Amino acid sequence: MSEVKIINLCKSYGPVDVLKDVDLKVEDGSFVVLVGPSGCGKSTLLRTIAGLEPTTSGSINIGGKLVNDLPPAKREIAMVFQSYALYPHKNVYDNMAFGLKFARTPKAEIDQRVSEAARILQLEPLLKRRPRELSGGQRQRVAIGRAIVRKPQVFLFDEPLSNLDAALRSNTRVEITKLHKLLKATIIYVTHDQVEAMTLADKIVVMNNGRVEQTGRPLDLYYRPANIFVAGFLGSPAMNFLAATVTKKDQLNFGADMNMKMTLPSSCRVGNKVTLGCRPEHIQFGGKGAMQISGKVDIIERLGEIGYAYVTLPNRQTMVVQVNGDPRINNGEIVSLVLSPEHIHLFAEDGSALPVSRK
Amino acid sequence: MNVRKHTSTFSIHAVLLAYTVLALAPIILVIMNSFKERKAIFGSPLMPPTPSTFSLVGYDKVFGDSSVVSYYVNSLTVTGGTIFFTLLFGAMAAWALAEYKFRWNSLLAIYLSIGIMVPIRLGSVALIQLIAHLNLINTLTALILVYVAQNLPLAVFILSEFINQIPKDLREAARCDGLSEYNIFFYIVLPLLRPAMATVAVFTMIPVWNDLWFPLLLAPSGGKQTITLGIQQYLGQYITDWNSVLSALSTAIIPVLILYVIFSRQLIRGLTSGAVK
Repeated sequence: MSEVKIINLCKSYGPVDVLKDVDLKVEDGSFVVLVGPSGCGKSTLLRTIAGLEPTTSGSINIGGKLVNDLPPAKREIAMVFQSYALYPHKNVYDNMAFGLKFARTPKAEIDQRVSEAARILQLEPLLKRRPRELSGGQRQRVAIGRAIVRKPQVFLFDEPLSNLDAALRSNTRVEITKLHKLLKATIIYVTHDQVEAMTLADKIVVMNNGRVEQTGRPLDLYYRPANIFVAGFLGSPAMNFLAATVTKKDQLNFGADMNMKMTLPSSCRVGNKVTLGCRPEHIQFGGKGAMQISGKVDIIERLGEIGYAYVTLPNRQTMVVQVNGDPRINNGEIVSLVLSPEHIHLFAEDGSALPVSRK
Repeated sequence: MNVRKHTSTFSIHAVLLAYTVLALAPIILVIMNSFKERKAIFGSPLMPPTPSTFSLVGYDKVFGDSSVVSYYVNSLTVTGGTIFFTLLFGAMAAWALAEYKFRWNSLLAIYLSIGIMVPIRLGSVALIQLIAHLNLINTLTALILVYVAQNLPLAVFILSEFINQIPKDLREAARCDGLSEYNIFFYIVLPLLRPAMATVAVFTMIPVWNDLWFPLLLAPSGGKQTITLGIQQYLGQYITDWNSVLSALSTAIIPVLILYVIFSRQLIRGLTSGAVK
C-alpha cells in the first residue's frame, strides 16, 4: 500500500508559479517517469513530494496518509540525487547505514539490511571504500543502496543517470528496470531524457510550464499525443510540424501552392488554422499516395543502420525523413514524400489534438 | 629559452631566499644568544655560541621559576579556549547565515563582518569597564571572551564561504535520512569544514598567542599572566636579565610552532583535495 496521490498541488516562489494545479496518481508498485524540458517544474514536483520544498496549496498523500506537513524523514520516502550526494567523509557501508543509525535501528538489523542491499547492487567488495575512490557508476549504485536500506514506501529519483557516460547510462537503465521488478517498489523518476522515459516507465507524465500536459503509457503517448507539445517532445528526431490552413472541406494548404487532400474532422471549418504532424519514420520517399508533397534534399545524415534526410519544402519549411542506412539519393535532388495516412496527427490552433480518421 | 627559464627560476629563488633570511634572522639571533653567557651576548651578539661562551644559565633560571611554567599553561589555555569557541560559534553562525533564509539574514551578516574592519583595541576602555563589572579581572575567562569576540567576525566570514561550497544535495540527503538540523551540523557540516577550520585556527592562534595588549590590561597579575606578559618580569627598569628573556622567548615559540604544524597539514590537505577533483 504505497500509492502516491497528489491533488491540486500548487507551488509558487513569490510571484512565480512553478507548479500549477498538478494532479497525479502513482499506483502501488508502478514506475512513473516525470519528463519535460528544463524548468518545467518536474524536479520541483519531486522535491515537494520528498518534503524538501513546502507546498503552496493542494495535498500530497503517500500510502493513504496526508504528508503535507511532515518532514522528509517521516514521509517514508528515499531520494536518489543527481549528484548522488554521498557523504564524502564516510565509507560505503556508513553511507548506507547512516540514516538507519539515526532511526535507532538495532545494529544487527542495520548489518543485515546493508549487506542485503550490497548483495543486490554488487557493492560487497567496496563497502570499506570512500566515495572519492569509486567510479561514477559505483557511486550511483551506493546512492541507490542508501535508498534501498531505508525500505521506503516510495523511491524518488532525480535525474540519476545524467552524470554517467552514454554506455554506462544504458547499462544502468537496464539495472534500474531489473531492480524495480525485484523490489516491486513504487518509483517516481525525473528525467529530461525521453529515451529513459520511454524505456523505464509504466506511466509517463509529460510536464511543461508547471502543468501536466499528458499522462499515460509510453506508447500511448507516442502514438496518440494529446497535444502538440507532447507530440513534439517525445520522439527523436522530433515530429515534423507543418502549419496549414483549411481551404476546402477536405483540403489543406501549406502556403506556396502546396495543397494536400485528406479527410478532415468535422469540426474543421474552411479558413481554420491547423498544424499537421508526422514523425520522420512515417514518411516515405517516392511512390504515389494521396498525401504527397515534394521538396529538395539538403543534407543526409547517415547513422549506419538508418539515416535522416533533411528536405526543404517549397514553403521553406524543413522536414526530417527517416531513410534506410545508405539511401541512393544525392544532396539537391528533388524528391516526393508520401505521408502514411494512419500516422498523421492534426492539431487545432490551441495545440490540442484533433481526431483524425486513420484510413 | 632554456637559459631565460633558468634565470627566472633563479631570481624567484633568490627573492624567496632573501625573504627567508630576513624573516628568520631575528629568531635565529634570539635562539643563538639564548645559549650564551651574558658577557658574550653583549660582546659578540652575532656570533654563534662557542664552547667557551656556551651557557644554559637562562634556561636554568626560566625553568627553575615555577611561575613561568604556569604562564605557559595560561597561554595554552587561553589560545586553546579561544580556538575552540571561535570555531564552534563561528561555524554555527556561519551555518545559520549560509543555510537558513530568515528576515534579517543579510543585515546580520553585514553586522558581523563590520567586526573585521573595526580594531577591537579601540574599545579597550569599555572592555576594561565591562570586565571589571563582571569581576573577571585577572582571569583567563576574560581573555578568552575578548579574543573570541575579536576573532569571530573573520571566522564567520571564512567559514560561511566554505559552507556555501558544500553541495546543497548533501544537506538534503541528510534531511531525507532523518537527521535533525543539529545533527546535520555536527555530523555532516563540521567534518567537511575541517580544512576551513584549520585555516581559521591558524589565523586565530598566532595573534592570540603573541598578544601583549589584553593580558596587560585584563590579567596583569595574580598568576594569570600569559607567557608574553610573563617574560616582562625579566625586563627591569635598571637591570634586564637578558639570558632569561632570550631563553623564555625561544621556548615560547615551540608550542605555537607545534600547533601550526598540526593545523597546516589539515590546511594543505584541504586545499589540494579541492583543487585536484
